[in-house]
Amino acid sequence: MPEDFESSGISNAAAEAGETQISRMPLGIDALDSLLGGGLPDGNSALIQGAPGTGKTVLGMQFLEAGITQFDQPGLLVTFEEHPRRLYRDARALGWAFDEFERDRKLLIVFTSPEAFLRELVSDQYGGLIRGYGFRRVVLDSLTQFESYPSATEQARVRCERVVNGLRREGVSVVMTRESESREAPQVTPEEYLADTILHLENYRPANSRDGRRIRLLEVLKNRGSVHSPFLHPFSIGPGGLAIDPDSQTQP
Amino acid sequence: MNDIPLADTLLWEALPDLTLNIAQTAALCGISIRQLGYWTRQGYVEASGQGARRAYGLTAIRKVLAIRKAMEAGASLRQSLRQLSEGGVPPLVSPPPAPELAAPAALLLPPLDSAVSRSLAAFFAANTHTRDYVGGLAVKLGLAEDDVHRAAEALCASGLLACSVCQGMTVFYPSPKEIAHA
Repeated sequence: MPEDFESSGISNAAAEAGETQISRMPLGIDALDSLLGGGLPDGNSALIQGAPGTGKTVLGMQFLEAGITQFDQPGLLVTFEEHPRRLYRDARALGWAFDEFERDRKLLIVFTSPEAFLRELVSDQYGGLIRGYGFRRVVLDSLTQFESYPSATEQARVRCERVVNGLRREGVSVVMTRESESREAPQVTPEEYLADTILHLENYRPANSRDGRRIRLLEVLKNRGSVHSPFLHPFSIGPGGLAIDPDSQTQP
Repeated sequence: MNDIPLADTLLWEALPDLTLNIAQTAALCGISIRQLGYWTRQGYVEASGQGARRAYGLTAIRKVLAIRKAMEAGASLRQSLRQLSEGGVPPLVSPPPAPELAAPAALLLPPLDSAVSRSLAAFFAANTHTRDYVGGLAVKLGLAEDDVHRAAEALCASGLLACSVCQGMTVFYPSPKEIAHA
């Protein structure tokens, strides 16, 4: 265990780094909050990236579930690809009653496409929705869909900036997902520039694996304005979502 | 007007836990909202909730279709209800196509007359918080944009969908009441 993550936890490292004044929004996932120094600094946007099947959507849903059940913070999930019915089903399998949350106006799952979302965002349709429900947490799943949306008038980075800023102005914490094969991608994408926090998920088969079993790994690549764990952390997915053991880690 | 076999097919596609609001139920069953509201207030059709928040389950929707079918065959509302109470709500199977019958003008609504319309209506019934433009809907349904465009406009005319123009793009969503609830 590295010095600044020892038993007293990263919160001490954050305090030593003069971060006591930083207001944070805990994700509600204990171990991950600890890896981030206590949660997302207020107003930070986070990008969860990884290959298909690594748990990006589950982590985004867990962020919303924790907000609703632990902090009474309603959440908005904008899905560009996955049908809401599948999300309800997957949530149910993880032990989360998303359909009930939606009935209680604690959650809204909007199914749309990047083109319609962007236009409605800049026209304040989503602002009205966010203010009307009192949403504090927003998940966009996934930004990969924006890549298949060519625009003759707007660069990808400007488009991405429009999305992030359009939501930031409403004061919500935004978590975005995006497909990415490798954490060492040759080119930095606009989403990576703009996101304040980047979490990379992997489903990795070690070369020395005896039974061929894959292991899931999480790494905090960036956490603007705050310290964070520099290590890879094994995790599992089961009822309750991602379970991360902060004491178990490996070198990147 | 929506034909009854078509509405049956739509129900099958949206099973098993379908609930629709009053506008959607009226559009699906091919009757006016006022007519459905009247039947509900009179206790002929069961709905949960009150006013614009009324929700109709599968049994209620089937009952509405059965009443409409009997009325199209020439029965009065009272006779239709008596037939239903004697024979129960008919099983949810597609009957042979009924001949075109004259119906009171108040019961007429623009047609849901294509497979694409059925698919689109079923999609919105199953995904009630969808907000999308024709191109996005076409991708989600795996259908041609032109067909989806025509179907979306027909469903708008029937009251099942609503739309708004946003930055030059028409965005469709389930109904004004759904959005008002949101």
